[in-house]
Amino acid sequence: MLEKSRLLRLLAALFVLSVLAGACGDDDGSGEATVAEAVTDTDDGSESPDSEPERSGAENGEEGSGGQTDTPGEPDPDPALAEPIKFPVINMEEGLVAYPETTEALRIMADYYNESLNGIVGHPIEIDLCTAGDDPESAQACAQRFANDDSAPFVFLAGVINSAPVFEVLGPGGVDKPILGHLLWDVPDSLQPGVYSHDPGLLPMAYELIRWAVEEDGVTNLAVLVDDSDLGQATLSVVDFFLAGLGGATLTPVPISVGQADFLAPMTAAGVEKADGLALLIAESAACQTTRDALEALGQGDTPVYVGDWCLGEEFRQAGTAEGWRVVVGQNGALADDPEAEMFRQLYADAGADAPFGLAYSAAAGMDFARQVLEIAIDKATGAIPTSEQIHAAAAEWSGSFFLGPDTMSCPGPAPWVSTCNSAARIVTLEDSKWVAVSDFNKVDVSIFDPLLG
Amino acid sequence: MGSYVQQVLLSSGAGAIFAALAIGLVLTYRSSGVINFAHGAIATYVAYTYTSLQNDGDLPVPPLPNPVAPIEGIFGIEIFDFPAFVSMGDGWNQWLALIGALAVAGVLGLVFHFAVFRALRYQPPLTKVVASIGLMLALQSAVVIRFGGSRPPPIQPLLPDSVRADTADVLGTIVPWDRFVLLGLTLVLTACLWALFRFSRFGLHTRAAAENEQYATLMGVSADRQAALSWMLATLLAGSVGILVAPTTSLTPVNFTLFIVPALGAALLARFTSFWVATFSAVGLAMGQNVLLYAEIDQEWFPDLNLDKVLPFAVIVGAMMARGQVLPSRGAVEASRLPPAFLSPWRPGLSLFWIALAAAVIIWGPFDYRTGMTNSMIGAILALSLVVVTGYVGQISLAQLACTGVAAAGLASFGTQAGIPFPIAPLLAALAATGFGLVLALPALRVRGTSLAIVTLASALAIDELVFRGDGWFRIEGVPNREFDDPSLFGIDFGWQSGFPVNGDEIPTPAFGLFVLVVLVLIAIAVVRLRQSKLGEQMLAVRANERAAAGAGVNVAGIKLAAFAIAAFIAGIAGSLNGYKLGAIKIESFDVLVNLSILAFAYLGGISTVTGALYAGTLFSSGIGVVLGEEIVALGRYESYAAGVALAATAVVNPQGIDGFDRAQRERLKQWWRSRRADRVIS
Repeated sequence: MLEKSRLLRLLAALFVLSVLAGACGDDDGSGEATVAEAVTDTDDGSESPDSEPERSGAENGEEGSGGQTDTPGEPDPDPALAEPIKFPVINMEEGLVAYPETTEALRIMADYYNESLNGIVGHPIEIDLCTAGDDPESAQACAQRFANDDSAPFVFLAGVINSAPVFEVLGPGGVDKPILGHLLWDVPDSLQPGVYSHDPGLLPMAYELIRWAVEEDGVTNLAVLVDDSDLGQATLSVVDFFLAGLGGATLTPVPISVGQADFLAPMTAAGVEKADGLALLIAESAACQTTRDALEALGQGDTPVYVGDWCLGEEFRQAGTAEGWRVVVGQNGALADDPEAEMFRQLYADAGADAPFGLAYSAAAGMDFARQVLEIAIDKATGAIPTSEQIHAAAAEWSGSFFLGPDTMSCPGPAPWVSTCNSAARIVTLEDSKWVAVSDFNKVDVSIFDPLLG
Repeated sequence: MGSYVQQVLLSSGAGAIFAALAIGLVLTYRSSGVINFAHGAIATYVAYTYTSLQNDGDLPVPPLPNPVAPIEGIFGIEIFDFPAFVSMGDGWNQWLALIGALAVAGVLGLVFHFAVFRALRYQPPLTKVVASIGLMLALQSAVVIRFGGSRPPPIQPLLPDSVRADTADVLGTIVPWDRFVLLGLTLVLTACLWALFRFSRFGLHTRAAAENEQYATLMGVSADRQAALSWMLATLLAGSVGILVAPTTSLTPVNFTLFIVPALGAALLARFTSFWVATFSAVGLAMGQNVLLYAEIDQEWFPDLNLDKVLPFAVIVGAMMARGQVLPSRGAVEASRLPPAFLSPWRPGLSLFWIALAAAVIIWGPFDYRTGMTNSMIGAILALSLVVVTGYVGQISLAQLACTGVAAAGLASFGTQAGIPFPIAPLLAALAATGFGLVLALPALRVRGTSLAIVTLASALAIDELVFRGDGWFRIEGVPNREFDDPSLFGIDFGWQSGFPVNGDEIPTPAFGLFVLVVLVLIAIAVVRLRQSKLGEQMLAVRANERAAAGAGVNVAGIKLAAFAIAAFIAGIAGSLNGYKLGAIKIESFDVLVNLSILAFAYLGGISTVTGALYAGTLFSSGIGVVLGEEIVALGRYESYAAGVALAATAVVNPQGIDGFDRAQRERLKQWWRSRRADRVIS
């Protein structure tokens, strides 16, 4: 009996050890990087930093951002200066909420820039990835790591929900480094100095969605399912605040928690049977199909539905989930006939990756935006790797467009909405399994949200 | 009134989901004495397997240990990899996929029993709770690793479209037929389980083993086989529920785990014994939630306090307070106790060595080590709160993290907003947490063991809904984020970027780390002194046997209240330190699932000793143990998975925790050395 027990303990210990070691083996072939181990992506030497650029500046602009960018004059890279530019990225990959697709998109875009555009003004991009979990500690540890890294003059914040501890470190109260590419998940994100984002953020998108429902579609009675969180409350406050000014429509909001067992009860509590529209303000893509099913179960499948961009997933396109729905998008609306989106899909195909979806488009847009800001900053640094101050200045100076984004945007936004470079949103819809635009981008004056801050 | 009737009728879907999970929990408890926190995660894993088989014909393989990984790592070569998926042709027919997924469920049940819970049969309830939390973490992480965390898979409903599209008109209310079908199926399942346990040989044997395992064994009943079959049955049930209801609810890695809370409430009302009571309680809970939700919208006078979400808590606490019963034990041959609360002799030299080492890491260590050490020290303080309440008094609390949240929010209110200076503000915040701790302790006067774990879990949910989301000093949700000023005393700053002669130009500077170290040392000394005191002895007496302690003149209720209050105060200090460290807090940091992990890691370190709490601190999120581990092997997205597996394995192999294992090895070494010396003397 004793021998058996010892054997069991030995086997269990071996199992645990080999699980730990096995993690290193990475059994599905995808790469890993952690705080302790940075992974860099370069053009793996196939193209040296000082190699001859193959395309002209005009071609660069055309291919880099779909012909929309106003790429600044690119000086010929000086071989002595064309050292790799570190592209520090923080992304959530280690927890139960993880966005590995963001990193994949960034790698594919970096490879494209390195191989086709000779990096950024001749500086090959080296992605330095710090992966965080869904806890604030690991996000802050990544921020501290880059704060201490003198070779990282900026940080690209990819999919990071816990941004507040990051801002404490990298914001004006800490080691002030510009943050590029951040998705404005929450209202305080839009107010954070030093953040330059391609994402319109919560409020302009909510505003545009509701404005469209009331003004364009004539909805007068709107049932609203809203996330029971900061995010949802902020969205709801926008809806509430502006509805009176948008034709006096009434709304009935019902909060939904993560882990709502069945949508029927909250949907009927919101009065969907009497309403002439349903707004789904829940940042959880799994809720899209559930909403569709619940509406059909109630015999209300024809109710106009207004949702955020989390229902843009490829699976919803294929399943027809969002057919006929109005979806508000910022920079991630990959339309069927959009040449930029097609180029991006082709890049994925060339890289042997699955088709891009969801946040991948947004990450690509963010990287394109960051690249343009860095181009200006490198120009300011006369071809050298720019400092944090030069990147701050470049971001403040930047104006133009970026991948899948609206035309003519600039940073920073009006105080206190300083993080809002792009406040434009537009409505798309799914028609015959193809995403098509219902409207052009509408630039929202974010200062109208000032009263919400009390 | 009609709308209220509609809400009651529409609760059939949610009620069916809660009920199906609740009877699975009852089944597992009746047959093996385990309150299975992983039950929802099993449903999730099987549902994802079903979608994978149906959509792509791929069978997911859980991340498996690669036996040659060390060789691969050392030599930089690739010899062998387990596949992530085994391709089994194109997408399967839905019924074939159902059979395949349920086969996986059955295998999971057998693996769980034979690899984990069979060995834990005679272990205390807390060990089993920890093992099930480990499995929950591992399964959820396996889903995220294989399927991603942000992309729900398309799922083909099992119920035919004709049923799903049809609606019934009941009292003028439109109700989809499929909800009634789900409820009907749940009632059929409940009847089957009831009949199985009531009339079949299997049920008779399982009941016999549960009543008196020793006697049942003498009568030729194999309790082990009964438990294995029951585990298989329970995982099959969980898998069926996952597959059946995934189209109704959303399929995400965490949804079914969150449904466990109301399901636990229903199972608790049924004392983990009656399938029928569990089912009806679950349906009743769903109805109550829907009616409350509607009342909040329909009636202006009704308080807008998310009462529908607080209902499971109210039901659980109300029922337990009213009945005050512990769950029926399984009549195991002999149940072991919690790990002993060792009282080591004071060795100042050794203590000073460790303190100096920690200080050296904080001052001169590389960045990752400094951060990891600070995170670990705050984690150790939180673990010390569990040492007091669980290790010394035997009360399982799953609400300690909620106390840290109260203190953190309080610190932002008292310090940053009201301008109360340090150290008064964090002390006030910790006292506020103490107040909440005393409220949490009230159910403990009537409830203990795993029942108390469930009650405190529900309490944590209630604090989340009523306190963190409500108006007042302790609100966390809102705009802007709750923020904190740096601590400062007599003109000396010790925030995370305060100046310091060494490494003062890198963040976090050593100032904050040293501040946390001082606090940790003070609290550790206080907890050691508590253990040495008369109060500590009374606490251990209560842990050992409440009736005997009461008979010996110990005020059991007072001891429990004191333990909860002290533990909450310590947790409050940890919360304040965390606020200072992060600079801003969000409600997600105090999530219920994080609560479960905190208890599990505290147990893994050693729940009954101060040393165990220090070990536990190293294991917490981004702690020094994790940083050191990353030096050896970069776990990346496998971190949660490995942690879950390690938790379950430790519960099996070394239920005393790391500290207990360490002490046992040292004792063995001492004995070996003594016997060697004795041999020499003789020779």
